Order: sequence, then structure tokens, then C-alpha cells
Amino acid sequence: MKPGPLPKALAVLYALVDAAVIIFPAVAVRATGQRVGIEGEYDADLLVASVIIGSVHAVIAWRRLVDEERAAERAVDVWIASIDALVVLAFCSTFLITAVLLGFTGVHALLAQRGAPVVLLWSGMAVVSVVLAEITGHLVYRWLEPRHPVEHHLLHHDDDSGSGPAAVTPTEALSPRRPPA
Amino acid sequence: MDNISRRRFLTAGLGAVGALAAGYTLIGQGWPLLAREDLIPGRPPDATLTPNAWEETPDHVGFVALGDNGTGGRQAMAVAGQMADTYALRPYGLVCLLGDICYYGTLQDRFHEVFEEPMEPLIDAGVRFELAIGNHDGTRYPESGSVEEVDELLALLGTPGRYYTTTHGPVDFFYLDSNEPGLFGPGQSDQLEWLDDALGASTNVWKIVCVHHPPYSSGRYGNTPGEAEKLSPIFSEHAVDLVLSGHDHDYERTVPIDGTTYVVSGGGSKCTPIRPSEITAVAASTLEFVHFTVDGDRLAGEAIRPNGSLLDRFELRARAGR
Repeated sequence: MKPGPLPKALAVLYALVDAAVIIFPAVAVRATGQRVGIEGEYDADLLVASVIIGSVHAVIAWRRLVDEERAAERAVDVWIASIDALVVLAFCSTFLITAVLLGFTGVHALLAQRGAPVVLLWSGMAVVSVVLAEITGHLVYRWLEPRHPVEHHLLHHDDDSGSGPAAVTPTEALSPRRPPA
Repeated sequence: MDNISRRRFLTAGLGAVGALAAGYTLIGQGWPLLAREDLIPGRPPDATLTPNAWEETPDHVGFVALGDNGTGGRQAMAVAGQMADTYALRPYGLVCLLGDICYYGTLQDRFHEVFEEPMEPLIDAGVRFELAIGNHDGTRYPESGSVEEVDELLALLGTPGRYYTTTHGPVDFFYLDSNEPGLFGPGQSDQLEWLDDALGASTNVWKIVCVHHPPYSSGRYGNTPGEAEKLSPIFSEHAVDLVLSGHDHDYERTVPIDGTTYVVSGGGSKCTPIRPSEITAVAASTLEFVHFTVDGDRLAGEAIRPNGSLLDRFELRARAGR
């Protein structure tokens, strides 16, 4: 079933929030640098890396929402899983990088002084946060919808015509929300 | 309630609680923490300075005051870089460290990162460093009263004791230990008696006290409880000209209080908000250090931000009646 206008709008809003929680730690660091009177070493690098990761993951998250809405027995399960994923992402994207920077000051300071780019550490933590959020979302969804696995269509656009997923499992065909194709 | 409904209830509840907790902690704690701390590594300054380029005579001395510089991060490096640039223009032979020279670990472990790396150009130029110890300058200090550890750490800097006096040109400096034990708790009277005697014996033109916790401050921590009551009468009796402090991560110069000007220079690596009060002459939440030039009975101070811009410029005359 194709999501209606409201779920589509909510999915876009979700994607924007998803990107924002990834990008905002870098915004906080950059704003501080400008406020306290330093030239902003690494600021732009961290922000660009966060914007790239945030943008890519926003698309992935939006696509996951749309796919799961098509496959799910109940749309509310999709939103529960997505909110859980967003909570994990929000916590990890800020506190994971903070904990690593705070807990291993000697290690990364030494690396930075030897020329290792700080942006790699920052990006790595952001990617780990994204992966943890995705794992959370998928696990919660599968826990709530054990009979309705998702057909991901990130690389298959034939469903955009509105005819639904190309492949329909026998289980899906029995779903009350999904008439047989 | 069937199994799936129970799962929905559980995951929806966790999501709702998590969303509220995330909103609260990120806005209230996480993002402010990233903004307040100096966690991003930075590159140390690589300037090469002319050694011993300063002039120090009985009538003239130049020095810098710097507080709370112990992160070893990019903000600390930026401040240290500007200190090196300032030396190149107006050489000075002394840095008064106003405490908290090491955060996020022990000074023994992080001495290279938080002190030797950022200060290398100045160390190589022969600049002397004198420390008023802060509450972050020992892992077990002050809670356990393990002063032996602090004494070991102070030896790294060549600091002669937890409170002491030095003389540079026309200035007598008095460094205090404002921790507990120190200025508070057991043994506090020893230091106060020593300060009273040392100030009384001072015959130099200027008397400048360096103490980590500020007696007066409009910053985040504010006035250190009980400190002004202990110290102000002694400062007043012995006509102390200037008190330099850190602890609050900002810059503040007060109007003279009982004839003494108080400067908080705690922006060596972090910044916290400050709201000017009735004692404030100039205040800002910014990274900074203060460069002083003393000529006879005139002292000129300039608070400098890491980009070289001037935050405050002031001039004092040595107090009359000595």
C-alpha cells in the first residue's frame, strides 16, 4: 500500500530531524569556536563531514520509513521502530563522540599532533551512531512485525508507479492491509 | 493483551521516554557540554621565539596572566599561540598561571599535552612559569587532603610551595592556595598568617596576589564563599594593588573594591557565561589572557583574545600610602 500524504510528510519531517541530530554537534562546536575568538581549526571539516553523513542517512531513514510502511501490517509499528531508532541516534551522535573525546584525550591529541585528521575520528563516531540507530530500528520493526519483512527499494524504483512492491511474499498476501498483487 | 500488543506497548513506551530524555539531555546537557568544554584536539603553536628577549629592571617588568588553560585542546592551543605571538611583539619573562593547568586526567599523565606542547615556544625562550594551584591540579586534591601529591606535581613546574612569594622588577607576587585544605579547612590559619606577614614585609612598588578561586566574580561560580571575608581585610590593610584569579572561565575586571582591583582571567581554554554585576568594570565570556607592562608606579593591562583582538585595556597607579 502506498503511504498517504500525511505519512509522506511525516517521513520527510522525520528525515529532517534525523539529519539535524547528526549535524547539530558539529554546529555546536563551530558556533563555540566563532564565539570564543578562535579561527576555527577543524570547524568546517567537522561540519561538512556531519552534513554529508546526516544527509545520506536522512535519505536512508526516509526510504526505510516508506518501505516499512508498505510492508507493515500496522503503520504504528513502523513509527515506533523509527522513533526508537531516532532516540538511539540522538543519544549516540552527541554522547558517543563526547565520551570518546573526553575519555581518550591523550590518544587523539597525540594523533592530531602527528597529523591524523580529527575529522576521521568525528566521522567514524557519527557512522557508528548511524549503524547503531539502523540496527535498533530494524530489530524493533522485526520484533513488532515478525510476519512482514521489509522489501527495500532503495535501488528498485519500479514501485514508484504505485503498483506496490515487485515481490510479494505469501505472508504479505494474507495481510489485511495488503491485497494480493 | 497479546504478545504483539505487549511489545508495542513496551517499545512505544521506551521510545516516548527516550525521546523526552533525549530532548532534555541534548538541549540541557549534551550540546552545551560540547560548547563549554574544549574536547577537539588542536595543533600546538610552532613559533620560534628569541630567547630572553624581555627587559626586566627594578622599575620595569612585563608578564602575562593565564588561567584555566589545562585542556590541551584546540582552544588552549589557540590561546597559547597568541601568547607566543604577543611575546614576539612585546617580550615578557613571566607567566602567572592562575590554576587548573590540567583537565581530563592527571597532571603527571598529561603534563606534556597540557603544558609542554602548548607552551613550548615560551619554554624554549626561557620564560618562567609560576603557578597558583587550582582545584583541578591534583587527582586526589583537595578531597582527600593528599597534599603530598600536589607537592610532587608542583615540582614539575619548579613551584617552590603551595603558597609562596616572588619578586620581578617593581612587583612582589603572592601566590596562594585557595583550595581545601589550604585557604579553608585544617591549617588555613597558617597560610593567612604567612600572607599577612609576607605582605607586611613587602616594600616593593606593586603587590599583586595570584589566587585560583576569585574572591569576587560575576561569572558562573561567582564569589568564592568565605574567601573575601578572609582575604579582603588583609588586602586592604596592606594596600594590595591587584588580585588575579581564574576558576570562572571568563574575563572580568572589577571596579576597585576597597582600593584593590580584581581581575578574573579564566579563559585559557574554556568559556562559561558571565552576567556583569555592580562590581564589574569589563566582562566577557571568551578565551583570553592578560598582558601586563609595569613601569614604575604605572601598570598597563591588556586582555587579548586568541585572534589578537583587544578585549580590555586598563591602567592602574600603584596605591598611595606605602
